[in-house]
Amino acid sequence: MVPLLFFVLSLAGLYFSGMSTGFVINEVMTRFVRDGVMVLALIIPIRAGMGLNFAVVVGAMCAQVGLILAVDYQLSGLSGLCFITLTGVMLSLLTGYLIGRCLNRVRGKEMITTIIIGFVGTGIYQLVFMAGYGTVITPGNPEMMLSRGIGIRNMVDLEMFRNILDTIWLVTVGDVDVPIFMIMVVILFAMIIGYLGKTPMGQTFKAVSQSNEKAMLNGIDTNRVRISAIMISTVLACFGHILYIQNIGMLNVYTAHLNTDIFSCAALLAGGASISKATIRHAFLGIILFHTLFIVSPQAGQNLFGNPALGEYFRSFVAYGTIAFALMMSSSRKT
Amino acid sequence: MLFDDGGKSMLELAGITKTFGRHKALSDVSLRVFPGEIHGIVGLNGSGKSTLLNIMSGSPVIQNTGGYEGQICIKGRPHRLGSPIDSLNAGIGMIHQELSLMDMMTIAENIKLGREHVFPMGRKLLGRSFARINPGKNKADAQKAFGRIGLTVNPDQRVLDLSASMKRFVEVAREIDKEALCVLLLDEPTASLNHLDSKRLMALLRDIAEKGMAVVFVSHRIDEVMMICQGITVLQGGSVRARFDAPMFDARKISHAMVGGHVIKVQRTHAPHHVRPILNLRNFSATAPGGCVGPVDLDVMDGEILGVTGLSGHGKSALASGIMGMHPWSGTVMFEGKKIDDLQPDHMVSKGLTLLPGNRRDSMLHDHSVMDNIVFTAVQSKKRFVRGFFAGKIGLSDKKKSRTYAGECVSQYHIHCRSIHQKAGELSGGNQQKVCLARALASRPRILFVNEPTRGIDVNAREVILALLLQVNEQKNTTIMITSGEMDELKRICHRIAVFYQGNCVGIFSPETDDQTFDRAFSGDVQGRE
Amino acid sequence: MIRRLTGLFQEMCKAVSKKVTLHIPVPQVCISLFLLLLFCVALRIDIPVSWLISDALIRLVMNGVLVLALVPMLKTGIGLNFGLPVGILAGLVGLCVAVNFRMTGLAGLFYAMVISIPIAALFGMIYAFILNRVKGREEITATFVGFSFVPLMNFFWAVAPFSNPSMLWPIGGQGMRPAIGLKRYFAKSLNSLGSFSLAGVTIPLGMILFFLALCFAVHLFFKTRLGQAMMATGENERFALISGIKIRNMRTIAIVMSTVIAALGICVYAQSYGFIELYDAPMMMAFPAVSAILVGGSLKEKTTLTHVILGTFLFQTIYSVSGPVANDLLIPEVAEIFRLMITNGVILAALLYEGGRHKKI
Repeated sequence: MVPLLFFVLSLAGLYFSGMSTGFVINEVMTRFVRDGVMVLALIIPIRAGMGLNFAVVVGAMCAQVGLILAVDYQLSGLSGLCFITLTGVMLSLLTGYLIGRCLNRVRGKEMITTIIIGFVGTGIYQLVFMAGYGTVITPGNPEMMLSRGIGIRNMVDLEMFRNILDTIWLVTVGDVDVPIFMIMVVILFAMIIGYLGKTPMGQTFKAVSQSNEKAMLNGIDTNRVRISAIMISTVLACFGHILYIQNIGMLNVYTAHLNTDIFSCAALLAGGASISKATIRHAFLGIILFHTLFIVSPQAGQNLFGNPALGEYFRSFVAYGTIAFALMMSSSRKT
Repeated sequence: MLFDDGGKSMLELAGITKTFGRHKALSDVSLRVFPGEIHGIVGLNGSGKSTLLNIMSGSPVIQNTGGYEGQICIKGRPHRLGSPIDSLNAGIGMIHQELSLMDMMTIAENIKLGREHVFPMGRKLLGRSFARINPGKNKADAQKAFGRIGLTVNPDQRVLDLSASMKRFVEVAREIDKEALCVLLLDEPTASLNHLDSKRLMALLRDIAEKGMAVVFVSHRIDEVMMICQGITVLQGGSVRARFDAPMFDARKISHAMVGGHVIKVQRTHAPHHVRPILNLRNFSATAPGGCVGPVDLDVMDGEILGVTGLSGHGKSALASGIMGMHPWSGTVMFEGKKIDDLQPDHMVSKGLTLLPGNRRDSMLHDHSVMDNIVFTAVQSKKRFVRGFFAGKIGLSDKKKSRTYAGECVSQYHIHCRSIHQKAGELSGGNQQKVCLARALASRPRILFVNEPTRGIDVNAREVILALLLQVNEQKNTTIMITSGEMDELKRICHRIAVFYQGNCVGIFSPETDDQTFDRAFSGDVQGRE
Repeated sequence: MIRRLTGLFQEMCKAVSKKVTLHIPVPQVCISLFLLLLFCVALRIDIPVSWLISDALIRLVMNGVLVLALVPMLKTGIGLNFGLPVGILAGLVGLCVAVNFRMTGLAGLFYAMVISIPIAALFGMIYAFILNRVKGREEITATFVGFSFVPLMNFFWAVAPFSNPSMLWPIGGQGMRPAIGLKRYFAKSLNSLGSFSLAGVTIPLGMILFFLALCFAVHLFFKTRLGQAMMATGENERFALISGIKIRNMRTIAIVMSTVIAALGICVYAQSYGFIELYDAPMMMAFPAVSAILVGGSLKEKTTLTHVILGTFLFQTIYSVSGPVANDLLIPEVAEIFRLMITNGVILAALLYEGGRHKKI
């Protein structure tokens, strides 16, 4: 029902905004590449019965740490990208493990805990890069520092990484640019998640999500399974964010990662997923529907009410409201 | 202390002891099961059967509460069972009382859960956890396991759609599939099975045992236990009460050993003739988490003490809480001649029905004072001890009246506490129960449902509580329905005793009926008058 | 001989520590010590003590009412009210109406509060309807209901028919400003009520009395029959059910109460701050309040008013003292980050601690 609602709203918004279909399709495709893997990252914790993992924002921050370090050491090109990926993944594994340990302590309250973990993570991240650089950590690349000498600048340009991957196999069909390589990368990740479901690990996820006690009766170490789920999710989030950043071409050091969790969750839910069940189909459908609505709302607001801000409020409400609605609709959880 | 038998036994328990906090669940339990033997363990709820099985299956519950003492040997080799994996490796398989199947998974998936076959290439590259499952081999294994049971199945069928008995068979198949299995534990395996399927399961167990396995069979159905076991151990209060060997099985002796004996002191002397029913149940059923009851046709007479008994899980406790509206129910309930359409707890309380649950955790506010507990229900539902403001909606509690009443209760019921302001949770079990009873009586109920009034209470306190119940009934003509497994207590104070088996009322007897009839009624063996 | 002495000494220490821990739990001791440390540092860098104390007192009441709003839902077993924005938005509507009709002084503040109450009650009923459907997941649902309410109200702020030009955008004349100054209306009206100076420290007596009166009212409420029923619901729900209490109604009352007190809380806050902040400002306001009550030692159903007052005091004082200290020692933005970390760190620690406690049982 939810996807249908989104579909109707998107169509209405498209009509009222007067935007060209070609433009919208282009934008949606770009966002598909940018946000695709991040939304996919949310699927695994849902499969393991842990609900929405708002702590994917931590995975995003790990990617950003890798990026900043790369800029700091002035690495560029493909080797730079590899460095970022490697650092990001290692950090994600570590943080994912810690988050998993935390969540095992708070069974039944995972979702609220992941939100708070996200906030705490943001705080630590900001502290390190705003106050740590220039005081405790000596920067290797003075260009990226603020003029006063302490803290990294708000915007870091990524010209050395821009367009490495984006332009591979770029095909133009009429108005629309189709980045085939990047789309295939996203599909590759989707296939990985699909494959995971057919492994013994995937079976344990299913078991743990159905019933913790029964899984334990079957000899499954539920703590380990849940930690694995979160670690995988965080690593995927890291990958997803790397794709996002390199697509944008510029890094907003202190704000790029904010709200990735909310919008990704909303997108997944828009595709018809629920707190306890999410598939790849939900993810893909959701991204298309959610982002279409996202793109057309401000212009539709302008045309309908003469105030683009109204369109923005509408889409914020839709994002948060979808999550609240999904929470309401889910049946109450058994401990 | 190991048995001296030259190491021939398959399973050997020696000196098993387990305490949960202050409560000793098992003390010095020893057991010996030979290959090919089916050994039965019987006992009342709380006698330690489940704990013993949990220890043997490496349950994390045991680990997280301090582990166990004693020694467990399989085939003569001692094993330390600290986790389910340990038990698995030791060759112990367990079929739990609660179904442990994943409903949304298929039969094959359930049987191979945790031990799935994977493609070797995947295993070499990515490790076992991340290798691709070989569904074909899994299904073949599932079919083979079922073949040994003598059934054919579609391994792709979801467990959710199976009948209760099929689910049990899947569990058995799962255990059989484990290669190293040499001891099979079963906890109430026939609880949800009908007669035919129980027979089938037991035939299967005989087969398995004949192939050299040792089987431990825990059940409440004494007739079944007597039918297939070669040896029976009776647990009572955490220790081994008696041991019987085939063919000298005597149902009466076994029941007797299960229940144990008590000091008899209180006895009902007043024997009035009750004619008017105050509560009528027609076709009444209720589904509680611990068991279902019904359909039941029952009349509770005004002013009588009715005992409701039966073995655990056979529905006796669901009756009272079902009537109070705490569980999904169906049928007809009539109170004082009027049909009740909406069975809600607050509704029933306001009509004058009160429940004292068997679980003291649910029937008290542990961090509140004795006084607060005693007056609570009366304050809420009957507005006693309250000074009203704003048309009685917002009422400030009348401390003076509460204090006086609480004081009276304390002396009348001999509640041992430092003062009425002491926290209720600090009192001993018996005194807590007295506080609960005082609370229930403060709201001046018409019918009082009491579940397990004397569970976990020492002998003297038990007598006081029974005397109180008698007193309340005699002086205030309160109808009381007592649900209890303590047969002899019920015999002493009830006017009539209803026995339940598998959710149905097998018969209503007078307390003077002989033990043998009762024992048989407990095992569902009697067609009594309704 | 020595062994006996050490044994005796150990016994003494055990006895003393038993007594001490009974009164003040360890986390609060740590936080108090930390506060003391901050104070000393502040003194070292020449921030006047009198200003610190005045500021602390004002902040205590300013934020205290919002923290008090958390109590009804905690005691009834619903958990932490992360959806405070719902009540806050109701209060903001009341404030705007008051400003719209150009009410000034204490009467204006009173007017704003009175208007907020029915609006908060209405919002609260909707909020309660939603929360009653999600037993077991109240806290996360509350968070998102709160978050969703904000953009919904943003709509309202953008199109609302208010007429006072000082509230509206200067250009175009439609749509509220994000921040509305209260200097000409009732800014600091409660703050200055009965306020006097004592050794250089300004003590806002009226404000403190108002806050204490509100606390006392809540305290009294939980001693009534209804309040006792609500507490029982929080402490032992099955017991409450058996005792004939209508659980759903209790929860609804608690949620509505919480929302109404939150509306009053934002009125007190805004008049003290001097500005009505609209649009996205209320979105994150629940977290400092939640953090404050946790700092005070609240443990779900066992929340008392001491937790509210102590917690708000400790939390807000750390906030106010850390500001100038951080700005002086480090760079200005660090203060904000620092505050965010304390707020969320406390909530995370409380979640983990409570989860660990449940596991042991």
